[in-house]
Amino acid sequence: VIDVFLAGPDRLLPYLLVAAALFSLGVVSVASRRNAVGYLMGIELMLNAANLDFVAYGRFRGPEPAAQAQVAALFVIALAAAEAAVALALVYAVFRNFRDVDLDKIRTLNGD
Amino acid sequence: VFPFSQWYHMGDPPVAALYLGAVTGLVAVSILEAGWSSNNKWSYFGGIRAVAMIVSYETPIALAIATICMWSGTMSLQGIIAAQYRPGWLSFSGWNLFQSPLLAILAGVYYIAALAECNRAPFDLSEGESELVGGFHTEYSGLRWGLFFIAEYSDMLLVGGIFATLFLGGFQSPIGEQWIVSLPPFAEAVVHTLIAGGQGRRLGGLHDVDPVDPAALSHRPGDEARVDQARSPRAVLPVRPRPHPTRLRPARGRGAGGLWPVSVRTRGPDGPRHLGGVLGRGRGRDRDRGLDGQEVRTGAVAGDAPPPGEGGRMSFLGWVREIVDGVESTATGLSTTARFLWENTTDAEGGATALTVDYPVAPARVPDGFRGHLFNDVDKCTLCKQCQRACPIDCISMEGELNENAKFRISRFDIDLSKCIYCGLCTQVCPTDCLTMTKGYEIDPVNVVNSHGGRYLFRMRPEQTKRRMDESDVERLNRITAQDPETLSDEDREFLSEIEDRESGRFLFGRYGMGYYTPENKAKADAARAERKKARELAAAQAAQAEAAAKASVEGGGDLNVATLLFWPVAALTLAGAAGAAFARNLVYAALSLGACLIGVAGLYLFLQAEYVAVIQMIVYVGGILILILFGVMFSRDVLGTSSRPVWGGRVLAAAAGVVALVCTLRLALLVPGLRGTGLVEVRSPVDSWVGQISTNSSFHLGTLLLDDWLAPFLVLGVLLTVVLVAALGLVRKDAA
Repeated sequence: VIDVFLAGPDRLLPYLLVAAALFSLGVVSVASRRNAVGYLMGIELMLNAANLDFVAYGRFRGPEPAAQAQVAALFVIALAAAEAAVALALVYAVFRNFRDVDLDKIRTLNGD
Repeated sequence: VFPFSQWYHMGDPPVAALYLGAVTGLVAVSILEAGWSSNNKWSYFGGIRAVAMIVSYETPIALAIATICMWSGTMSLQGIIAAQYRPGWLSFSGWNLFQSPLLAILAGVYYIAALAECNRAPFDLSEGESELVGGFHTEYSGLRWGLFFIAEYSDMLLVGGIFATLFLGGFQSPIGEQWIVSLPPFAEAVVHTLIAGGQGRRLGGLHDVDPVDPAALSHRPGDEARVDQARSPRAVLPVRPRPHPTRLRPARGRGAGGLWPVSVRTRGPDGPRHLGGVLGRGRGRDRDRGLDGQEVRTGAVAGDAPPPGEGGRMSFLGWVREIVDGVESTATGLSTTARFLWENTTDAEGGATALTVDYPVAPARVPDGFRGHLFNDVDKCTLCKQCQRACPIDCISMEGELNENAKFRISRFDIDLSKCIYCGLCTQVCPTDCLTMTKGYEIDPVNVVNSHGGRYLFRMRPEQTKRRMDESDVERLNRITAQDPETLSDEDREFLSEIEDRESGRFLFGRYGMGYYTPENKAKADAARAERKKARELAAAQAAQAEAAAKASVEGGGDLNVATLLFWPVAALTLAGAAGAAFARNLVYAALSLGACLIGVAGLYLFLQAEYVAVIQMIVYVGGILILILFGVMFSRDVLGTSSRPVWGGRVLAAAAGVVALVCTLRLALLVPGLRGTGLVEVRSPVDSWVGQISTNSSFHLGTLLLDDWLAPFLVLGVLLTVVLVAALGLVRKDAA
């Protein structure tokens, strides 16, 4: 453990730990938030965790140069931007119609 | 990353130009937050206006930087400067500015956009004094306000420096390369400024501003310009156009974003109805658009989402006209500004005009009606006490006595300058016009008596003396205090004891609270202060030495290096940010924590030698997505999450899901073949010197891959982004509801 701690940035394990924790926190966020924007933040956390894993594996496990994994990360970032833009536009539209962004209350298809 | 010379830079990563974009992208977050956290509608409007403007003009800036990068074939700033190198005396012929007419136009575009970026006139509408007072920083005072201004002026410095780097050959001398070695780094910048701005005359150096100099506290036109000038010469270009009278209307300011045909035009909220006239274009439905009416439009797809005009859609021609309008009004403002570059910079006496006041060498001029020091002509004063009653804060007090002609004359007239707000009400009620306000603004503890004839005196306490002081008394007092106390005559001692405050030992006049009023006393106090400062510095130096010794002993023991020391704090920042994003009840805090987490992830990418991804992470996530999320939080009016607090069952479920996810991801991670055993702690190309230099040029490989193996997905992604842009616009259109 001490060895891992001392050589932190040169080992794969610390990155995996951080990414796993990020992903779990993202799951917690998605599961507990009922505000749509908060929900979105959880998704962003999970995407970041996946990206971090991509780049870390690319650096320590992948073929040289490590750029393949980074391209994947870039694509994820770009898609996250697109997703955030559309999601927030949707949130805005929902807010305009319902005056609320609580995901549990937007259930008019339910027949209520 | 900014290069001051070939050697003076913190580091020159291959993606330096992008890095600049990433850092400047952070500005929007802080400004938006500053406006929001003021808890003040107008500050928030100011913040939104500033963000809308910054985001709009970042696009021309980014395009300008990208063009120069392509022209020079590198994203390294040193490389860009090196590409502008020409041997011989005509070395300025290598400047990008002169390489092509298009690049000269680009320089103009960059200059205008940079002006807008750092809120200089005519783009200072985010803090239009007449509308929003100070904009997003209205509610900040003292050091916090100071931080904003340090940031703002550093921004100008940076923007000026980038301009020099991109278009003016950076730190290289314009005439002949030998100057590079013969001039100190900043001097070359001075030469550039001489050529670029024609303003070398005022670059003589920094004017020292005495922090206790009261003149620095009185607000006069020219003050700002004076402080502006006391910056690095590189900053003169953006600073110069400050004093000009016109300001663009907000819609125009953003409309001028159309000066770059494909630039994204962002339109902020136009404010509530009663502000429609000043905030928005104030016509048609624009007026009705409140905070909820936030719309983002793209000039390039204007056909899909034309700005609403009078009673409905605006035609394509109307849209073109708006752009022309915007360009025209920008040009008008800038031409007014440009006139001041060479016109009207000296007045008849050869002194500086309102642009720069050479105070204290030249006297500062004050406008008519300036309310300076109060002056009471006691010969005319009838002791009516009107002024005392008019004073809103009771800073005037007076006493009277009958003189030899049995006339009631004033014997004491005090103004407590620690309270006086110079409102001038007392002078307006004065029936004999004996109480007036002069144009004097200096309160000099040494000269207060001499320069104002001792007509009014400040005292510690009203009961200190009953004696009326006239000019001869003041002269006598000055003479006495200049003497050695041992050699005073008995009469002088008696005179002193009569007016002296026997408890504190202070005299009745002088600048209250300061305690000294003669040069000798001031020198004594200064000497004592210097001694205390020296002792403090000595102690600090010793402490630093001890700390360094302790640190060295620790480092000698283990094999910690800088990267390791930095890694765990960055990882901790990431996790703490993520925890905040997941758990904070206030959604604005959650979004800010998410920002910290995203920045931390960018830091981790740096450790992974993926600096390009790190920079993109900063630009897209922190500069873009985070801003979107903040807008979303702020506009959905559910900041505290009151309507969406998780229920208990939800929390338990969430915690369980989190634990499951943690276990699963860790198990999956560890199950990858070859990772067990020593695989996890294997070292591959250790990160030893990543701070100074990045060894692998990963951005080069990235570029190759993107345009080779990944070309088709890359193009699809571009199409997808365009579709998303249009779709988002369609979703938020007002009539889409």
